[in-house]
Amino acid sequence: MSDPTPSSLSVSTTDPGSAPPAWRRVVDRSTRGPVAAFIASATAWLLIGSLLALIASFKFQFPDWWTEQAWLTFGRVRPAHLNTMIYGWISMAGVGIGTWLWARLLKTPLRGQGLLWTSIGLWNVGMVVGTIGILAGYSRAIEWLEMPYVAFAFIVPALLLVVASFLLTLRERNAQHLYISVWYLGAAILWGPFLIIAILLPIFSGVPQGTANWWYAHNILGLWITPPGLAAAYYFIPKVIGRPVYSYHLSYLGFWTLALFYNWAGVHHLVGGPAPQWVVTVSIAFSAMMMVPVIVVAVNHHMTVVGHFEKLKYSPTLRFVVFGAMSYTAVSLQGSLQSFRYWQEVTHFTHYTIAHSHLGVYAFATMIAFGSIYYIMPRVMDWEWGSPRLISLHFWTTGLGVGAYFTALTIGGVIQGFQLLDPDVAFLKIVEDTQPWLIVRSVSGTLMTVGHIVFAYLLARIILKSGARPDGPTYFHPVPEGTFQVAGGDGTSRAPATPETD
Amino acid sequence: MSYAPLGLLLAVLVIGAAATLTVLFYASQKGYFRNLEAEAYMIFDEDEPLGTPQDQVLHPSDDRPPSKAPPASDGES
Repeated sequence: MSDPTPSSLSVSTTDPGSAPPAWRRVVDRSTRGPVAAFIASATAWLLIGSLLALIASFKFQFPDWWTEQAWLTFGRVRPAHLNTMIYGWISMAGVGIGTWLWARLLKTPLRGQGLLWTSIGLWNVGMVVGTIGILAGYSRAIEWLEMPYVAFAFIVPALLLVVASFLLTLRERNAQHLYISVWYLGAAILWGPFLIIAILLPIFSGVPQGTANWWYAHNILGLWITPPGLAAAYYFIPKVIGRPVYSYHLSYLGFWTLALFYNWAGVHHLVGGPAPQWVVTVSIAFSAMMMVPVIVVAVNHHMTVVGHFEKLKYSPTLRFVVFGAMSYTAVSLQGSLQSFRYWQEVTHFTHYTIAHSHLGVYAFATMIAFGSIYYIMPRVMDWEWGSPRLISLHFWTTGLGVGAYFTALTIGGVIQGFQLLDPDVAFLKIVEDTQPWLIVRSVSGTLMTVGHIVFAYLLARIILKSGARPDGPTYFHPVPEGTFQVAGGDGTSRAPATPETD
Repeated sequence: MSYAPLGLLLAVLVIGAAATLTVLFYASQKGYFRNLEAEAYMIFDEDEPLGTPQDQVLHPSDDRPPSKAPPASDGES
């Protein structure tokens, strides 16, 4: 650990004629291969997962479609979609984004690139084996853990290699202070592998297995997927608008309360189930306590952006990330409220739950991942995005898609829940009444998939450095002079003074 | 069916909370939270100072000359 501004960082440039690179540029370049490979792999799994999602969703409209092929039946396609999205898309994207942030915020070139390349290879092999395993009928039938054991024989070592690279980089850091994003990323990189190893232990069966299953599934969302999302939001929002986080103290309060509370919350999924009631009650209590970190983060992000909302019109990164940050507030508060017994009695086993999970994994985590990638890739590839128009199309298809998806399944799910509680309503009538909402689900899923294809095309272009090289930032609109000069949180151009450090 | 495996989970929860508090205490003792508000500015420096556009490539005038105008356009007009 040394000087916080590592101007002495000595890494040779490939172009001796160019000026000596700034430390930030050197660090970005050190992450190029692994970050691009993680993000490209993640995007490939996003496309595969989207295709599986569409097949599953359209089966609600066409139940006789592809029923002769066992591997294309709903019971296989749907878990294959979930696993490709969780372990393929959002996990690999999170590691890619986290790797870049880690090196940047520790102000040192990435260490252990070879470990990360090996990790990428193992991880992709594990995903192929796991996805084919589910489709071939070797699902373990445990939600969020459907992939057969052999897939995790590749994925767990891959995760441990990521941990090793992160620790090597941390050891060589040039930053004295660990920025809040580093805490979130560091915690996730330890929690994630730990959770997976714990749940794979062959000691659970029966009710304890269900209990452990939902402890795990909830934690993989809150302690593995959520932290990189919040880490990215805490970095990109201040960076793009050019002002520090509204309250750095609050950001730490949010992190430590998440670290203390979240681990206990998962078993609220078993309200009404056979698990010991005191276990469920403890989880409900901690779910309610999760309102503390959520409100803290929400207030902090909102107050950071106040006075800068007009920048959402121009910056792709800011628009995606702010959309994701707002969704984090929504999904987390919704999660706390729906853990209560009186509400679970209505919504459990309905499409409402599916809407909630998509609000978390998609509207929050995925949208922040998209925004982060729009910021990161130009820096690691030394190239700009090719088309603001296509980025705009990507935003609106995914934003409107997930908005319609969430709205339709939430309303449809609540109606479905009340009908299920009414003994006078025939079950077939309930099934028929969900049909309009499931049509919206398929249409909005198609919209999101269009956005994913557009995103994959843009990503391929920037990785291949296709087309002519632009020399400036990619904004949605030409930015009026002075727009990004507004630095004060009060909407004025009065920039806050940088306080003295110790 | 035995509920004994849930004891492992309970141990994980308690040990996890204890470990979290230990790290928090250790970090506090090592001074990681000293002068905290000022450290929020560590993501800015002379290259990317407060209040300047930072949603762009770090060094637009790179070792390869630009071949066309910036793509900023009326992408949503």
